[in-house]
Amino acid sequence: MAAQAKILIVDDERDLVDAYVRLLQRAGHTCLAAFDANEAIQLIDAESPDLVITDLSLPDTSGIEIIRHIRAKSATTPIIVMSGHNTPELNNAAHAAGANISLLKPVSIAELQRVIVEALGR
Amino acid sequence: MAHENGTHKLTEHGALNHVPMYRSRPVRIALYYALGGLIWVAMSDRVLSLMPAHSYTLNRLMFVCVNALLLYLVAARYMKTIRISVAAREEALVRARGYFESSVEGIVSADSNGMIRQLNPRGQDMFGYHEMELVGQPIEILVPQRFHYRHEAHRSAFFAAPRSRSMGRGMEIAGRRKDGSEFPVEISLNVVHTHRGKLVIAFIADITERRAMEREARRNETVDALAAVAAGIAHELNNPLAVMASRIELMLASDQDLSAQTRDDLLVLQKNIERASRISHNMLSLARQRPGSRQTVDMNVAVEEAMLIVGAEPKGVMLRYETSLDRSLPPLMAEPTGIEQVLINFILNARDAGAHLIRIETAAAPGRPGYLRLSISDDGAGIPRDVLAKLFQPFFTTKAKGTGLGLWLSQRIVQDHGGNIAVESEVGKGTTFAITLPTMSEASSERMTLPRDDRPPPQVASAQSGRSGR
Repeated sequence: MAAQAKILIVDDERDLVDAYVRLLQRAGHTCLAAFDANEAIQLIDAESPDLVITDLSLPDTSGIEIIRHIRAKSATTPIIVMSGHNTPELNNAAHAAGANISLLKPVSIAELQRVIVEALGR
Repeated sequence: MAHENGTHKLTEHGALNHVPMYRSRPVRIALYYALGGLIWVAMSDRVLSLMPAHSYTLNRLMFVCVNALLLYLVAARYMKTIRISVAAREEALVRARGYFESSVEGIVSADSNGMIRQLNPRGQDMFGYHEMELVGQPIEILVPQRFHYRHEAHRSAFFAAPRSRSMGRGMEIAGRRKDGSEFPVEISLNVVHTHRGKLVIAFIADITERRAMEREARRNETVDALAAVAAGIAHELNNPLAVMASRIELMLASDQDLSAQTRDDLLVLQKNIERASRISHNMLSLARQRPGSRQTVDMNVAVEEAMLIVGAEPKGVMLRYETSLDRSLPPLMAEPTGIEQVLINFILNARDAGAHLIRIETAAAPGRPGYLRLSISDDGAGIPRDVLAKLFQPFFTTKAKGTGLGLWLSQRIVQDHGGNIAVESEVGKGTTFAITLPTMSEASSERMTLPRDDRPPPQVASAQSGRSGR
């Protein structure tokens, strides 16, 4: 049971990131936050998070780039895509790049917790 | 018999066009032989005088014989030509009659006074008249009243400078049936010259179906555009919704003491955000691209799964489910999430109608080999007749919290799978939705070879108004 993990959340919606960070910290996780892809990639290189939750539409580049960056480094780090868009094209692109799970916003914290546990348990 | 009459007239016109062709040849042949005869007459005395004059009578006899032979040859040749030309003429007539009677377009001819001379069987079907009722009537009888004045002017202009053309280019033109109803038509005009004057032949195509298809295509375009807008809005809404939902969760999960009232208020907010996101997700699924990949789906299993998903939600009233599932049904080739969405939509609808009993039945579709029939019946409020007609329209809803997309989406999904939905409802008694879908049975190959006409129209759903309101 890998309940405690270092989790990186990437989303340009600061209010959302802030809430998820607090909720996940309450659940005992260590949380990192990034608001664009550039920041996220730096944090991934510096901190090597156990799990990454990312949006797909980011101000600088697509979340797909982050997924590719992670997969270039690690084949196993679980990647959860959490997006307001769920077109099959976007989903397929994310999964082709290496994402494990995709969720459509809004995601309740209970649902997110369940998915995190599932992803870490793999 | 009207047709016989008609063909006779046509033969007349048809024949007239061919006169020079088959009459010129016998005339030519006769001329050749006559010329030959003349030369013989002129020369015969001299030729005969050159011969030893054994007997003048014998010579005379010979002259007569040669002339008789000549005449016989001319006559035989002429008769043969006549026979050939008559056969050709008859064949041309039969052909013309075939064209006339089997044409998928209506054909009507009129003289220069605008009087109808002929109408082919298709035209009779189209306009609902018998030919005999129309011959001698002004052509305007087939034109809606409001166009009469203009039509007469056009007709005069056309006869003044006749040429083949399509009628009313760029305009919507209509035909008028015997019962007064109108239908959209496309007409091309042609002129033939007969010994009795000019004759206009109009070829008329009933384009009701094409117009309907164009309307449907335009409607689909509008709906697609609306769906794209709705999905765009939904995308934009998802982020703020997520922010609100997460903040409320944060507050509810905090260690600070919340008054019971505040906790209650937060729960109400949470519930409404869930509702808003359900609407948003519904709108997103509108803009769903092409349906996802298909796999074998057991309808009975799909029903049981849908009931599990829906049944988990609490409901204040007593509600009972009754199922009758035919386990021998072959599977479908379908998109599982689509089928699940349809089932959930119908079950939720039945529940929202205030049903106490929901009956779900699967069976082979009666009278349609290779299809299964899934029916979902409830004993709820029933659907009034006027609502029934609009049931499957997008954004139409009678529910305070409905998006008006559930049934529309369901219908689209079912149609995508080659099926259709029928509904029967009686106010106060309940509603039955019957979904017919093709299965993967062997019979399905048989189904493919059925003529198109055997398939029920896709609009069965909205057309069957059931017993309500009677």
